[in-house]
Amino acid sequence: MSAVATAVIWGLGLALPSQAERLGAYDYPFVDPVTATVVGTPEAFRDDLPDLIEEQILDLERIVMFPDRAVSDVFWYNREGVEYGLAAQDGVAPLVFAIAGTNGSAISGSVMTLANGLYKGGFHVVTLPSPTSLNFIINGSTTSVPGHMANDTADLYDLIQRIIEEVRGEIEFTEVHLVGLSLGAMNAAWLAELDSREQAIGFGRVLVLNPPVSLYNSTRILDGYFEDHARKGPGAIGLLLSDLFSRFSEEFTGLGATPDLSGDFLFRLYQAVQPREDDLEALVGVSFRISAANIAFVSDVMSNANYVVPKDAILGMNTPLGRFGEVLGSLSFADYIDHLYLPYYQASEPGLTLDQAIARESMQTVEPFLRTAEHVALIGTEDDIILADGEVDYLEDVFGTRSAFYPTGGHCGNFATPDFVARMNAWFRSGSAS
Amino acid sequence: MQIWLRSTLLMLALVALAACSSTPDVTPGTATPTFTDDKPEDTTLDALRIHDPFEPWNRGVYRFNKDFDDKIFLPVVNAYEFVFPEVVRDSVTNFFRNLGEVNNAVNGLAQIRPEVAGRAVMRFLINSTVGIAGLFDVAGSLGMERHQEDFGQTLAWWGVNPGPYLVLPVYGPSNARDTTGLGVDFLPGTFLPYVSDVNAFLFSNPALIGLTAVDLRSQIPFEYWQSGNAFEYELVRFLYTKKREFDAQR
Repeated sequence: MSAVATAVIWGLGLALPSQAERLGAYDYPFVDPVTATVVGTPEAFRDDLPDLIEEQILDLERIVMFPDRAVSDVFWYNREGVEYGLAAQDGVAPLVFAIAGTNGSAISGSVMTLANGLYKGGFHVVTLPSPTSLNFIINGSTTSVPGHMANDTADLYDLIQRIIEEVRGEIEFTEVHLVGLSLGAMNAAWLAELDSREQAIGFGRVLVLNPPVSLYNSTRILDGYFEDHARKGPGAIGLLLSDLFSRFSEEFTGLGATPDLSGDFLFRLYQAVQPREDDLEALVGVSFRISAANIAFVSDVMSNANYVVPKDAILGMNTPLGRFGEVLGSLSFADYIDHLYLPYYQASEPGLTLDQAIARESMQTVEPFLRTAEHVALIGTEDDIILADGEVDYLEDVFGTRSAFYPTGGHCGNFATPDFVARMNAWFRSGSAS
Repeated sequence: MQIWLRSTLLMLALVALAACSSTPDVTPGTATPTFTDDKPEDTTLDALRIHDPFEPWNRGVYRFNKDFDDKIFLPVVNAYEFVFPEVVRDSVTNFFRNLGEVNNAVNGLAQIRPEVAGRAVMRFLINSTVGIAGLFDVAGSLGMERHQEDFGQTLAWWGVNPGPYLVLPVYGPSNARDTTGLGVDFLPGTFLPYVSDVNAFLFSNPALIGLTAVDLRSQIPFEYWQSGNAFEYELVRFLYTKKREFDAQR
């Protein structure tokens, strides 16, 4: 099936266009981008993909990057190394590294969808956690204060090199490629730029999916979804959650199964229920707020930042954390940047201002590289909810002939469609660009 | 058979208690953090505040459950899933669910909901005869869907309020009311003719007790501390409590 689709797409000259492409209508049901973002690709529209976790094809591995690091007991359950997923083909194949989105572990939903598609395309796949994930902040980050693109990129670069050495004995691979989604896409773009200078890996092809242009702008949009709803009155969020939960419970007929939880668990909650658009935006907002709280808390404890946890406090394995969670519930990602990231990095970069930080944590910093990097391509959507006005045009201008935009799909909503899977695999299959 | 089961549970409880013996306290720290109070207009995470007076102990059991999962339970479940095709596993599930219809019937009656009890009885009879002792869910395919009731829900129906949140060894989240309910739910199987014979057979063979547990666990997609969220304990507590509220209303 994938070979046919790939051939069709190549045949129609659609794989990588001769000019920057706004793609035509494709088989995707949601016109509203928030619905697309929350619901993703419904069953009827999904490609026939393997499920690497269900079928026990993906192995979850750990690698220790900082053997002498002491980690607070409060993270007893996740301090044994960076967790990455490995799905190996039989025999020789190219190897693709896939970087998760904000707060995403190596087995979070969106990156696993990509992995499933890539595996179907015949690649070895290694999934990587986002530098903003709990696992990476604790085990993979030099500073444990993510959002600093240069540091996060350097940390990821070291990690990928270490993993390549680890897996070299286990799998036979030809080239090494790279893909990232959402914030992971910005990580991938920065990694490609770093690799072009240091040449330690030599990525064959890089694919950037639904990136933000500015980390700050995009997180402000998502913070805004939460704040808009919370502003509707006291208890508005709590009421929304109760209402959503009762509607979900009516649909849910498991054996008392607890839904699996992550920054995006509410996304999956809503796949069972018919949502209102306002509710969906609020839902995205709540989910992002939970992610932001997680990032800030883990970073605060690891870097001793005195953000919500008192400086030098020692938390134990069974310490109740609710009171920290409550404070964090009223803090946005922008607060994290302004009151944790900024003071932290001002210590080593005196005079660093918020405006400077905002400007540099963006695609603009690596724009000169991206304009001429023939081996780096972008697939996005015109209705991506994390992009501000003009940012789709900006990305199209920077990536030029190496960009393609679907008309619909929201933020990472269309990764399981046959058209997307074929397009992604065709890009990696077509060999190095000159 | 009951003695074996009881002493196993007691052992598990003791191990769990041992795991919880570390002190939970925060060593206070040397400064006031940048942010200490949630703003009055925001009440998102107030909704997550659930009565949990035994929280440090509960967190310890939560931790024990993860260790139990990692070292014992999940390796067995993974082997079970790897070895047995889904068709076979569905039969196992249906078998145990069929026995569970007895509980559903009893509790449906105790809540003065004869239609629930009646449906459970019909499902049990149909499945035990036509469905070869419950291996195939014939009643389900005829449109009589399972409606799960347990004594915890019965107590809730009768107005017993939930009491403090509890995390049980192996079983996971619960509260005082539902834990009492669990104890009672073992009883109906002991006095009904066909069911008590099957129960006696099951409980006389430790491997089959294990199979019940493995079957149940394999259907539950949840894994402890896999969410990647430092506040997972609070979120599970919230979801469990909300879910029980809505179970009781159905």
